[in-house]
Amino acid sequence: MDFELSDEQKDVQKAAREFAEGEFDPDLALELDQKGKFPESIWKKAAQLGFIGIHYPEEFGGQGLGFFENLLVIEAFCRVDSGIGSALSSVDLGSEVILKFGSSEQKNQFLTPLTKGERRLGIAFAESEDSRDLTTISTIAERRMDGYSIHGKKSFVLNASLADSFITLCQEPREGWITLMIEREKDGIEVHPIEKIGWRMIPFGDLLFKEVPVPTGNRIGREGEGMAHVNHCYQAMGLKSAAQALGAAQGAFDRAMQYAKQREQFGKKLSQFQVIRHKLADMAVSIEVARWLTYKAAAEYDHKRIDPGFLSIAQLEVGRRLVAIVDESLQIFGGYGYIAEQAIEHYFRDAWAIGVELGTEEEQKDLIAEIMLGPFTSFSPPSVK
Amino acid sequence: MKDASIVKLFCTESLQRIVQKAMAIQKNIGLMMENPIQRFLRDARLFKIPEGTSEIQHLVIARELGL
Repeated sequence: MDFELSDEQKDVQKAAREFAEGEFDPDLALELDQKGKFPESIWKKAAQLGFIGIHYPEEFGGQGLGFFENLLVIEAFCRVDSGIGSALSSVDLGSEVILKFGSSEQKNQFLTPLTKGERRLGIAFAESEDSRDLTTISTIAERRMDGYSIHGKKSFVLNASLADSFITLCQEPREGWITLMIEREKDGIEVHPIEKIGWRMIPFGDLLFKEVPVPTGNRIGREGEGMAHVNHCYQAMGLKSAAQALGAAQGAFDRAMQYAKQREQFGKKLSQFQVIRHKLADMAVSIEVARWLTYKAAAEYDHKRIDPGFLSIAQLEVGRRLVAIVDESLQIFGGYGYIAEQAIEHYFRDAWAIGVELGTEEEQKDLIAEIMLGPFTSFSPPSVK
Repeated sequence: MKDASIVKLFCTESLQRIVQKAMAIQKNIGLMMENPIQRFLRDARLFKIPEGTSEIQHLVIARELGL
């Protein structure tokens, strides 16, 4: 067991950090957040420099590195700005499914343009408000001569008004779950945007599919495999969200540290008050916990030894730490942290969006307990007569 | 003075704790701007700061206890 990053990993981390510090202008971040706009020009530059799809094989435009290195980039980006970092790391949503289950043609068709900054992806799995509740899926893929015809509605789709293709979970009446790549330019797709409190650079929305034709070549893997695709996708997304949370927590902490060292109150620096020193010490502990949980889960993913129980443990704890760290950082800023010009203000809002992506504490506890204890049967105490 | 600090500290911290729970229970519905809970979250966050932050209230309470 080695707790040191390799030289190559340190280089990736350093390059991502330098890029973010050079490009993620705080004034631009404020403007994009307030207007709810995606950071287009920064995305193009990030793609040119190879930061998008760093973990794809070289033949599909990637750098041939691991998912771990991808998470290092996400962490570095979100550390410098939680909004821009999250937006850049969400352009390839669902690409892990293509990477694992897609054909070479599909990888060429969908992954290569991602790495060039030419296309973006979105995922359309859930249909109810609960993104993890897939028991209510009613989007139907009816077989046609040369493919499928899609009819249904998807809720809370990330990148709804931005993505060029959506990886979509559907029911094929005979074969069951299938995942299809649905192209935006097809007729019959309606987008209903949703305004939200955080992650304002990433458009959310509901998608309506009305008899949308999809060629057979856009089906990922085989019919009936859909749920395996979704599970794999959620595992990768959980890890990405953990890296986003880790980066955002570190970014909030960096800002609080810097502020505590310069701001004076009652004739001394904030950093000379024990209550502030202890807060910062607690936050440093939390970040270490979050970092090593995330790194361990990421290393296991790359070694193809994914332990769903451990992944849930990491997601639960990292999410819990993120909200607490961002809240304490804002508190150190006092009233100054509540105004939009201070980046910590949008870190506070973004933390809630990242938290939802990580899943609620209760969901993760249910999963962890189920692995340890088996299925849960609800119990209501007998009524006393 | 001590009572006022205790009330301010307890109520503002409780408010945030309760609103955060309400927010978390609603999951991604809680994020929607059309849902008032996100405004509660943003508004509730402020109260721990003005008229003496929670940290200052701790100092005042400790002082009033004779420490």
